[in-house]
Amino acid sequence: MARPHIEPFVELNESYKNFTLPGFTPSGSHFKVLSLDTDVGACTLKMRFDGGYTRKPGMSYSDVEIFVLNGMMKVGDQFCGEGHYLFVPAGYAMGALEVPQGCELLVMYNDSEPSFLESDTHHPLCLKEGYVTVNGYEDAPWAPGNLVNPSVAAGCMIKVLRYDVLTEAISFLYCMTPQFMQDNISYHDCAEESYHIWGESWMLQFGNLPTGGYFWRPPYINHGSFRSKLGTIAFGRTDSKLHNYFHFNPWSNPDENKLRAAAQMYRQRPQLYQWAASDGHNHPHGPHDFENPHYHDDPQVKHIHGQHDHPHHHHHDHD
Amino acid sequence: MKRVQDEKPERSKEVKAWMDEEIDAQQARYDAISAEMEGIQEERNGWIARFLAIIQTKGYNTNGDLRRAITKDEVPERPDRPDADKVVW
Repeated sequence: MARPHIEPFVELNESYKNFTLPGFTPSGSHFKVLSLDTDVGACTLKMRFDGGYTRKPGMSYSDVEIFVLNGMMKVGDQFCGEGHYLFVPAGYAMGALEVPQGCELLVMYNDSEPSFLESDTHHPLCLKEGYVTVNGYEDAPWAPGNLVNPSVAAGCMIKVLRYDVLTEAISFLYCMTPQFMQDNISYHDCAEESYHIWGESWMLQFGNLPTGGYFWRPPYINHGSFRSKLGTIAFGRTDSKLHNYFHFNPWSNPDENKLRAAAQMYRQRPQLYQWAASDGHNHPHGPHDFENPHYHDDPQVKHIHGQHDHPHHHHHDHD
Repeated sequence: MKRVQDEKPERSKEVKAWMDEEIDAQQARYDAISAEMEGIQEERNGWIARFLAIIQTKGYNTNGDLRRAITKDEVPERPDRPDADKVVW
């Protein structure tokens, strides 16, 4: 995982650039990078397509997630308006794009840098049954935040848009009601990402996050306590299972938080902890799973374990 | 089991140039965010003091809306180490 901790970042203050990567049509296509994996090129972009933009059918070599922030685009025969979410597996030939009056999107390349290859047929290795298309505003119900336990406080709700069965990564919408409050400090084993579609929230470490506010937060980093004075609706993602570790120490660091998480595992799943920690069992590519014998090849599983084929592109020391 | 991702072509010169430019821009963004967060430390100290007061009166949220009040003995103290006030990692 080589995306740095980007938090808080208010993208509305930044200008768009023309999208000039090979395979993309630069005319009418604009982007801002919100976060970027410096090794594999996986990234989250905010994109704008101008009115009249078109693109032929085609595929990417990466899984791609798309969320329509405003406007409308037509994908093949489907109209995707505000709140529409797409998960497009690598190799899936997306229908032709037509953008009659302009739109803005969040576009997430999960495995590598943005790529596009014109094609009207799926790649032979494409896991096309993974394609998801749903309008998150109109066709997904709000659920209480206690979908995850220990739970956030009442007033924080969630709409699950996609759930990865292997890693338990989720993509979701969440909201906080006006005057939401939660007096604890939280961290997770997973990376967490969020974009404020509208509204504001506040965290003890980072202060206010307004509309257009964004974060990519690596695992085990403290965040909270939490407030939202006027309410907010946001798009969020994790890269693996979301577990809320709550505490009240504002000064613990990621190493201490990780030790505390491991101590919980030691107490609560003692047999598994002992087995995994003992010599020879903690295999770097993961133990055998009779139910999912090929899970080692899953790009998301490889990614969250830092296994990639590209050489390190850059190294930045953030300390 | 081979995946589509395994068949991605090598990065072209144009893609490498795009990556270089965006990595540099991200580094600048990271540095600016870190500096901004260090700059609000005094204000954050006030927020922390308020938080420590709340958890001793109303309590802290242990799970959902369940709260437990923290006793004075349990209140953490700021450690004496260089990263004590660090929030961007």
